[in-house]
Amino acid sequence: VRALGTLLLAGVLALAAVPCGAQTVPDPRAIGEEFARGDKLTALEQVERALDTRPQDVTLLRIRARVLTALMRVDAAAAAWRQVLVHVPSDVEAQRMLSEVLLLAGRRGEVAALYEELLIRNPGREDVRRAVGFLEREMAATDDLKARYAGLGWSVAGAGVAWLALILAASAWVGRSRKGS
Amino acid sequence: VTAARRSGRAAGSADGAAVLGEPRRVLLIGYLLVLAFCAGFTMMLVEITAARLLAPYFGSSNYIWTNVIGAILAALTGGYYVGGKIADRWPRLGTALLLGCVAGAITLVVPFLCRTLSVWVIPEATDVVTAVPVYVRASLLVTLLVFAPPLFLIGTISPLVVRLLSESGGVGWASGANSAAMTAGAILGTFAPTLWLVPWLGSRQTILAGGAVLLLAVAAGLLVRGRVAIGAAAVAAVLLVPFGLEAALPPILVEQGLVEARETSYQYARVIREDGELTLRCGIRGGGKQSIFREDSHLTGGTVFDHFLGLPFLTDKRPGEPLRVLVVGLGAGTVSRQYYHFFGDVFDLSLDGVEIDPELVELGRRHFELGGPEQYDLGVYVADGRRFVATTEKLYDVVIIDVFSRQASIPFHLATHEFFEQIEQRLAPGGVMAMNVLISHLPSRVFEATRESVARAFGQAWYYRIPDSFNVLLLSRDGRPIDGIAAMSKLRRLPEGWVSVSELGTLRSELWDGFSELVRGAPEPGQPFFTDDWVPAEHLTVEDQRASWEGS
Repeated sequence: VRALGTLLLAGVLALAAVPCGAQTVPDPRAIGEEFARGDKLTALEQVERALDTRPQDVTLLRIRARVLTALMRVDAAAAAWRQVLVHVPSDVEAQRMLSEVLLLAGRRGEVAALYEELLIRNPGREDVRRAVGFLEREMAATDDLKARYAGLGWSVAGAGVAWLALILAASAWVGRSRKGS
Repeated sequence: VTAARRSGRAAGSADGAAVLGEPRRVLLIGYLLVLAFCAGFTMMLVEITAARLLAPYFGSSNYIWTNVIGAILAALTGGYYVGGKIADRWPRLGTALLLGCVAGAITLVVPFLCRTLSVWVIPEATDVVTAVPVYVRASLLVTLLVFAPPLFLIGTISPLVVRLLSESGGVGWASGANSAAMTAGAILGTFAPTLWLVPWLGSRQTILAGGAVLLLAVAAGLLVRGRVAIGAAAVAAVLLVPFGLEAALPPILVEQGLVEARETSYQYARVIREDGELTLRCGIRGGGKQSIFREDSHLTGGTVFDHFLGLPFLTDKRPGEPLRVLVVGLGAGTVSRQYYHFFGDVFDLSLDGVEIDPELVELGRRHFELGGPEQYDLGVYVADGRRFVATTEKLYDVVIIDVFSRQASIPFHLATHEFFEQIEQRLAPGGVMAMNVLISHLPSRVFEATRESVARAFGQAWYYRIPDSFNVLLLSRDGRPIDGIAAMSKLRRLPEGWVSVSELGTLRSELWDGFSELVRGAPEPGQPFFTDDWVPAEHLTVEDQRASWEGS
């Protein structure tokens, strides 16, 4: 009787779980409302769920990328924007957002590669050309910072050694003078 | 001197007190103590002022202070050691005077060297936001090369004084008397720059004064040795030379459009006219704008100041109702000017601004219309923000925290969980708090820890990144959600003729760019947060920026 009871209870629970598991897939508008309310985590959860059923939906992919950008999860956001660009390679907004996210993540090399690719595809675009110029300056500045940081490390070490040598030399000189006298 | 007389120990040397008559002996002992006092005075004066001298170029973070103190202690260590050997070899007053003379002379060169070397090490184009690790190393190098030499020489004086004093008394007494005199001088050298000299003379002339004091002591030594003519000439020269050097000092920073510069007790503040606007800069050259003033507009081009204007719409306040605003970090008053312009006629507005630096307030009144006729109910409090929040009994509908005093990060006591709890207690029901947090790179552990500190105090923390900037606006309120859509709807329903149509359109667009990106966050178990006991904000900033370089 106990086994039969358990079986029955399991059956009822399983039946009850079916409608819970089969939640309706949220439409982009509902996700947008969550997004606008600031519930970015809920929006992310919903958009992921929607993408499970419609993985090629560009609108959903774009929403996911925006949510991840707002959440400042830069690596995931960069991947999401790249996914949008796979579907719509000429999406200017996605290109702009991807470059911004990569810049915030400090991945300047990737931004440069992105823009170079864009320049090849759109040779006449002045905005991309300007952006490439800006990025090149940024990257040069970063390289300069890194080189300067390393150079300063050596300079500080050199100054420290020079000081030690000076103290030892002065000490030895004074000591020798005393012996001489 | 009495103790020396009692102990009556004598030893022979060229300047030894034993071979002198009693009055000369007493004079010599007294002089040696004065020399030790002056050496201690100059030592601490240089140490305290060094960080201020470095601040316009490298900021004034704890790292800079650590570098200064560490390098100077290392120099003193070497100086004491070598000085001991010199004292055994040439135990003469003349030796001490020679070392003091060279130390004083080098001290007079410090302001020139510091500027030249700092500008050379860090070019003007260096990116301030991401270069903090570079500043840390550069400041150590400049300290080792500029400030360590005079301190090394000052260190050598001390063993000589002990040696010479010991000829008139026991070694124990000599050592104690020297230490006491030197420490007494150091005490004066600690307080004098901060309380009197820097506010009066500026940091560079303060250093010159320190060098002059040591040289005066040396000149007095010549008089004690009986070289009256040379001594008098030296005294006169020492009194005149710093004035000549002061005239030769180049400007601390050469900046285009400089309107006014002031060395305040806290920072080197400059008012600069650039790109059609007046800005207040207090940090490193090329650093952030602490205040902005535009004659043709009350908006600032989408900076964080404009985003502070969205806060009243996030509260429960309606037009006509009292709106009490607190600004921690008033600066020269950009926010107060904006608030009275935009909300003076909409709400029954009263605004309190807290600023720790009185000279910024004065610059604000002079150049930024702080406290102008429009700002009829502005309360300006010169105080530390934490202290003000802890002691005020007022409640506020909007609390704005915009504080960056150390360039590398937010002042540590204004980013802790305990501080945000105090803010929470000062918020009126339905009120909102906003804090400007600077990020150079994501993920930012400083931001995450600050966000968590807010979340734990309020139970929630909202944020959005201000477009095209390194700023994140961190928001919170008591329990209720922060509704960007409702705020925009309130903004649209504002009375006709509220502000010029062009300003309103721009403001709406700027705020919508931010509000639409609002993110709600709750406390996250296991996430580090700042407490009064643990705020490694500067360390995390440096580490994050290093990580950023690795990423690039």
